[in-house]
Amino acid sequence: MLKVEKITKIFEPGTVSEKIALNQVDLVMKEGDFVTVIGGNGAGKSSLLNAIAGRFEVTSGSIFIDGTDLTRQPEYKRAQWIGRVFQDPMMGTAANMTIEENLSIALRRGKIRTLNWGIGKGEKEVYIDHLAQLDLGLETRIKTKVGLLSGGQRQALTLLMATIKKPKLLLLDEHTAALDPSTGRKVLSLTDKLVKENHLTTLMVTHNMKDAIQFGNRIIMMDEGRIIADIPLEKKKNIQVEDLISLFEKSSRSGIANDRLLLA
Amino acid sequence: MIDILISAVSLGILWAIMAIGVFLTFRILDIADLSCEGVFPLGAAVAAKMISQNGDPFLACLAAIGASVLAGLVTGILHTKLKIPILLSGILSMTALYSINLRIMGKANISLLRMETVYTKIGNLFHLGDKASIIFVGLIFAVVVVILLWWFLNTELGYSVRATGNNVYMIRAMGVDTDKMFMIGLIIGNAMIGLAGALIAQNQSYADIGMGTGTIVIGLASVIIGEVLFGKKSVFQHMISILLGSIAYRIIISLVLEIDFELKIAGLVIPISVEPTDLKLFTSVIVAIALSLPVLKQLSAGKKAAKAAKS
Repeated sequence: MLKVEKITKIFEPGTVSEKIALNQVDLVMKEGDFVTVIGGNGAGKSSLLNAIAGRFEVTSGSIFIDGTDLTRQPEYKRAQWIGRVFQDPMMGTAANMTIEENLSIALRRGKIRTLNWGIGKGEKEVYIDHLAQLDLGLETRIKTKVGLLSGGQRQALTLLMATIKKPKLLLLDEHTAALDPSTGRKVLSLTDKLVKENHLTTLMVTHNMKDAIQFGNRIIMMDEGRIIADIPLEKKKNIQVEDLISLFEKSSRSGIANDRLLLA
Repeated sequence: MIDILISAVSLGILWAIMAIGVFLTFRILDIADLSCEGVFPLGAAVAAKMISQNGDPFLACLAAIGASVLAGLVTGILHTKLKIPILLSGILSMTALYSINLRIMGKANISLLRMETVYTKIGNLFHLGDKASIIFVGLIFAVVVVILLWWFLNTELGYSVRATGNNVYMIRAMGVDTDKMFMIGLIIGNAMIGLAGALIAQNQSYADIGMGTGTIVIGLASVIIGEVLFGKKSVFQHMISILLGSIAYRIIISLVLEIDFELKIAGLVIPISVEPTDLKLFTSVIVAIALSLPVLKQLSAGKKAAKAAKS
């Protein structure tokens, strides 16, 4: 499904502020894989997602989805395969537009926009159906501007927008980190539900090791732009947070002391 | 007094077409496009040149729109493809257009006295007086522009343009080329501004190379006055508010021009009157105050909180 081959990303190469964000990263994901990505700050987790989504072009290496080479495709063209939820709840929706207008945009992800009405016949019913599944009461507020929703509601809506047109690959970049813990839990279980129901191939970055263990079928650990551990389902089943920490201490060059990872 | 109000309303309607063009870039795309200062006289210049050579006034309006579309396209390319900040892109277009407008007109101004304009044509057709035909023609154009833009902003493409002004990250992640959306927005906005230039040149019976100065500030004043007085709940209401805001602005201006009295302080007599040349200062002050309202509100809220904390 997803094949990432030796991608390297160097920011500001040749200057004093040169930073190697990704260092020869290889990653293969099968259809239906739900992979969680953990690692400290600056480990390259978000860079990996951004490289796949096309926020920047990689310095070297290739990215394929179902055999199609995306490496040189602009971000907006990759959107036909990829659904995304960002860390910042403000980033995934258009605040001045209504819930139904946002969903209309989402339903047309990757399609050419025409001069047809933004909301076609029978579409409202589809939105209301999907919104009802979120269980947040948004189905009665489809004409409300998204800017009036809470962070948790916006993030749940973004999640729905990323999946309402089934993506080949779903990228979740610490999408619950900016929410309060109980809202974060709700959005996470909603994520799990949507991923399972739609059999979505998913790559989820998280700072929380418990979440990484609880969700998904595979854990990837990153450090200094490299993947330093890849834990398959069989091993993941019985793994504990302590195991992950000791594994990290063993494999990491940067050490664990300075990392938020510990707080998880 | 009634005369003043009627002419304020008719001017307000014509200028509203320009203000709605400014609304599209400033509010929908969330960018300040200064090229309108050159596009407004561009529309006037193209239309005046054609009409002065006995061209059809409606064709002249179409040509004005066409020229403005090109200008919008250039600003769009400067901003999106060549990555020049939008303020500078607009200034570059505006400066270049000054020379182009002079080339088009061949001189600094063209008189349209006794020429056939859209107002005389439609006025004759419906047997309307001068003033009535200006309001009638203005309303036709304004209504058509509002309906067309309202329709566009509710299409799939229109949603993408609106989302681009809202959140480029989101709309790119949804598969839309934001460069194209900025260009579409700039083209449509400038088309409206050029059309307004053509209509106003015909209304005042001349086109002048300097008539673009202050266009953006007048546009912003109409947008802001409209929003404050009439609200902006939906896109449609927002546009109607700006139409009314443009009329309100013209009424305010014509009332301000009536100010003429003497202030007596400690034996000194100070004459206070407002000249037409003072209007740009007046308009800028209005817009500056309106744009700084959020900060001013915060300041006063902060002071109140401090007072409350003391007591």
